Amino acid sequence: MTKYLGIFDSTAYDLLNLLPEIFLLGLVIFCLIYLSFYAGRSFHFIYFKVGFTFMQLGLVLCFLLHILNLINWPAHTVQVILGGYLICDLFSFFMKILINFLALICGFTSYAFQKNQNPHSYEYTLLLTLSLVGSMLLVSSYDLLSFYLSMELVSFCLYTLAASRYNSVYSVEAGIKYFIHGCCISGVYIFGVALFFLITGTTNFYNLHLSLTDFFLDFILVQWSNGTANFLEFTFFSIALTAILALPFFKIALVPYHFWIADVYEGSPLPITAYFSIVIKLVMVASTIRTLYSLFLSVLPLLKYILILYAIFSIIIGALSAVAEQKIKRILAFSSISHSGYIIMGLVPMTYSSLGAAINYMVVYALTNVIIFAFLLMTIRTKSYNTQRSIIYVSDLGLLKKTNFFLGLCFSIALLSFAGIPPFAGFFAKFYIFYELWFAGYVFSVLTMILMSLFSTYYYLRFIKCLFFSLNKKTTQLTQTDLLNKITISILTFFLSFYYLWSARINLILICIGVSIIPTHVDEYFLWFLKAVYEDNDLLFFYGFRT
Amino acid sequence: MDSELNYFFIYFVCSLLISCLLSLLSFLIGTRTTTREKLSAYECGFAPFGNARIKVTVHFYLVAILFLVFDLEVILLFPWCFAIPIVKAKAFWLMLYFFFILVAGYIYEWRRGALEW
Repeated sequence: MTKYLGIFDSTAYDLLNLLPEIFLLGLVIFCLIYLSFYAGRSFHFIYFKVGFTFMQLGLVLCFLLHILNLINWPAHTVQVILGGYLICDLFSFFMKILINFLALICGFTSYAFQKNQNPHSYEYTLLLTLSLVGSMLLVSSYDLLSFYLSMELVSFCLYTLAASRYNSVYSVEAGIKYFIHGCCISGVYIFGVALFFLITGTTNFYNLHLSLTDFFLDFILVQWSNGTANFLEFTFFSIALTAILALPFFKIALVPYHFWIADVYEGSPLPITAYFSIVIKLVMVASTIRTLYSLFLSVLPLLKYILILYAIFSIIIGALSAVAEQKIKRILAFSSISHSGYIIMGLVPMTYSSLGAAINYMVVYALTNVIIFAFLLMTIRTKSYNTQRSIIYVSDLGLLKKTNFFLGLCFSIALLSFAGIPPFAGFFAKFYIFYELWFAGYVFSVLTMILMSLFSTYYYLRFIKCLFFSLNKKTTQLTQTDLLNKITISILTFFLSFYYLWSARINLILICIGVSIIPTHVDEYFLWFLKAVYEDNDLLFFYGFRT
Repeated sequence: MDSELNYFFIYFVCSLLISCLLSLLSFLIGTRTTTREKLSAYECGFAPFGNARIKVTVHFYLVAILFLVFDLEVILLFPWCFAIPIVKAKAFWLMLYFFFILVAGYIYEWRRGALEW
C-alpha cells in the first residue's frame, strides 16, 4: 500500500475552510486587547456584558460562515487540509455546525443566571469561545498531534472555567482536580503517540491506519505461523493503543476514568456545567468515534470486546452510583457516565447503521441536556423562607406543578426522554442501539443494558415525584423565568415529543454522516485483510445497510 | 540495546550506588550531637524565630507564570532558526503571527494590572 498523505502546502482552500475558526480566534484576541483598554484594572458587570455580546455575535457570524463553507464544499469529497492535520468531511462539518449552534444556545440561556450571579470579569466568555475554537479543531483533526493540541486548547480553557468562581471552595477543587487528572492522562496519551511513532514513523490517522493494517497482516499471517513473532513490537502496539484511547475515554468519563466527573460537575458554576455536559460531551464523543473508526479501524474487530467491557461497566456504575445522590448536578454527572456507556456500545456492532445509532444517541442526549440545563439555569424562590437561590437539590423542585406547571411538564418530558420512555426521543435513541446489538448477537449485553436503564429510571422518576407528588409542604416558585429559556425549552420539548415522526429520516441522515468517517472507501484490500486476519466471513461492517 | 546510551546507563547506576554508599556511611559512622540550636530552623545572619513555613505572596507565582510564556517562546525560537532555511517565508510569517499572539497576551496582562506589585 502506498501512503498518499505526505506534507502538503497549505493553500487558499485550506484557509478558506478554516475561516470560521480563524475568525473566532481573531475576535477573541481583538476583544482581549480592546476590553483590556476599555476596562483597565476595574471589574464590573458591564464588562462581562460587553464581552458576552461580542462573543454571541461572533458565534452567530461563525455559524453563518460554517453554513457558507458547507454550501461551497464539493459534495461527497473528503478534503485533507493543512498537510494532513485536519480533515473536512461530512462528519466534521456536521459536528462543527452542531456544536456552534449548541454553544450559542448555552450562551443565551445562561445569561439570566449570570446576571443574577453578577460576574465582573469579561475573560469568562472569551475563554468559553476559545474552548469552542479548540472543539471545532478537535472534531476535524486527523493527526495524533493536532488531536492532542486541540484537545489541550479545549481542556486548558475548561480547567480555568471550572475554577472560575474562585471564592467557592468547590469550584476551585473542581478546577484543580480536573487539571491534575487531565494532565496525567495527557502525558499518557503523548507516551502512546511516541510509541506509535516508534513503530510506524507517522502520526497521521490515515497513514497509521494503513501501517496498522500492514502490521497486523504481517504479525498474524506471517510471523505467527512461522513462529517468529516479534512480541516486543506487539506489546508496544497494545500499550500505545490503550494509552491513546485513554485520553478520549477520560474526557467522556468511561468507567476506569470516571472519577473526576461528579466533583467537577458539582463544583463548577452552573453555566459551565451546562457547557460541559452539552457541548464538551458531544465534542469528546465525536473525537472518540473519529479515533475508533478512522485510526483503529483495522483492529476494531479485536478492540470491540474491550469496548464492551468499558461500556457495560460505565452503564452499571453510572446507574448504581446516582441512586443515593441528592444533588441534581451529581445525578446528572453519573447519568452522563452511563449515557457515554450507551454511546460506546453503539460503536460495538460495527455496522453502518449502528454507527448512525451512536451518533443519533449523542445528538439526542445533547438536545435533552439543553432542556434540563435551560430549566436549571432559572432561579427559584422558596416560599416558606422567601429566599432566592439556584436549584441545587432534588427537593428544591418541591411541588413546582402548582406554580410553574408547564415548565415542570417540559422538564419531566426531558427526564423521561433520558430514561427512555417510549414516545420520546430518548427511547428511539436507545432502541436503535439495542436493535443493532441484539441482531449482531450481543444478547447478554442488551439484557444488562435494559436492566440498568430500569435502575436509572428510578432516579429520573424521583425528580418527577418531587415535581408533582411531593408530600412536602414547602412549595417553590421559579422567579427568574427568562423568555429565551422558555422558548428554547418549549421548542426542544416539542422536538423530543414528536421525534418519532422524523426518527427514521433523521437516523438515515446520521448514518450517511457516520459513514463519512470511515477512511478506506471499502477497498478490496481492506476487505480481504478483514477476512484473512479475523477469519470472519460474517463481518457486517462493509455490507452497508441491513436489509 | 547497543548504543551510546549504554555508557550513560553505566554512569547513572555507578553514580547512584556511590551516592547511596556515601550517605549510608556517613549515617552509620559519623558522630551526631543534637542540640536545640541545631534542630531549629536555619536562618542566615540572625537568631531564628517563628515558623519556617511562612505564606508566600501569590505575586511570585504570577510572575513565574508570566515568565514561563516567554521562556516557551525562546524554546520555540531555537528549532525555528534551524528550520528557516528550509521553509523560508512561511515560517517567518507564522513566527510573526505567534509573536502577535504573545504580544496581545502581554498587552492584556499589562493593562489588567497583573504586573503591578
